[in-house]
Amino acid sequence: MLNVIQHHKQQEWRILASTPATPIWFVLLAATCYSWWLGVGHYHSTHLLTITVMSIAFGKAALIGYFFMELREAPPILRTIFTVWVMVIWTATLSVYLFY
Amino acid sequence: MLVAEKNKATALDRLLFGAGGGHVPGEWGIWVFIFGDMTWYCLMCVTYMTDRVKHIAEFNRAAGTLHHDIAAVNMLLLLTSSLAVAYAVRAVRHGIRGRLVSALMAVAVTCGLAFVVNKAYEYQSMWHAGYTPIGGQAFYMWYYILTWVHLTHLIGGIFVLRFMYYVSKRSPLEPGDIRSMECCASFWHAVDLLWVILFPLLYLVR
Repeated sequence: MLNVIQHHKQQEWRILASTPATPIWFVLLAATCYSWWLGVGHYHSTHLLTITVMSIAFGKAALIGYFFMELREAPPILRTIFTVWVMVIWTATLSVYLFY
Repeated sequence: MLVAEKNKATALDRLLFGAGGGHVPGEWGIWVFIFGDMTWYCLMCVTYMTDRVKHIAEFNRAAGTLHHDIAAVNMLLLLTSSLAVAYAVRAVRHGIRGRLVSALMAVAVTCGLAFVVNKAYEYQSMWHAGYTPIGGQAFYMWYYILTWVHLTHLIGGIFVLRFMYYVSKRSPLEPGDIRSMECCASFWHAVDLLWVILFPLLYLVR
């Protein structure tokens, strides 16, 4: 009886984990740790650092949108609005930093 | 003519909404709200960037006084919370109910509350060190405004998660209930997404 319950629970977890959101979560954690490691200890302006950490951030934002918010399976118009939104804010932030 | 018009409309529909229709997470209305909310917040972030490049040395020095570790841990907490919420939505769609969904929602809420506790400690520590929004330094004013606005979203989000938990308990679960849960989840992911942008912008950019 206990085995049946355990088997049932394992099956439930298997269903939940069998989504691309699971490996994406690991990618997001790794990207966060990498940005954290890159960013700590700098007190002077470095363009390369800023471009890298902001690009990682907007890449993470896109992954959250596509896989956690499920926009990957959403109607193209919604997915396109989101993709354009991420690219516009990313471009605006870096353009201000580099050229303002 | 009429048939041609009809085919044109169908082609446009396909272009806009996809051949299979695609699934809108939640409702269209929640996406209007989410995009509006994220856009004005990100406009504030871009405005912060314009101020930052004008006083780059001052902002770099001030950013070095922030608690990077707390902010990074908060990022990990929100990502974990988002995964738990995504799992909870997936569970109810697959007809999985009961303690598993409750446990996932508990993980999500606990991570949200841990974020609030960390943030309160960070504010208290910064305040005691004399880094206040009224100290005359533009960086700290921006820091408090941006993080406070995000925190209010997050606290609101915790109540939204509480509502989502309440909906997940309904029996039987109607399609409208699942849509409500998707709306709640989308809002919570948006809170996560804003911190993804804010974390490097305030703490890491130099």
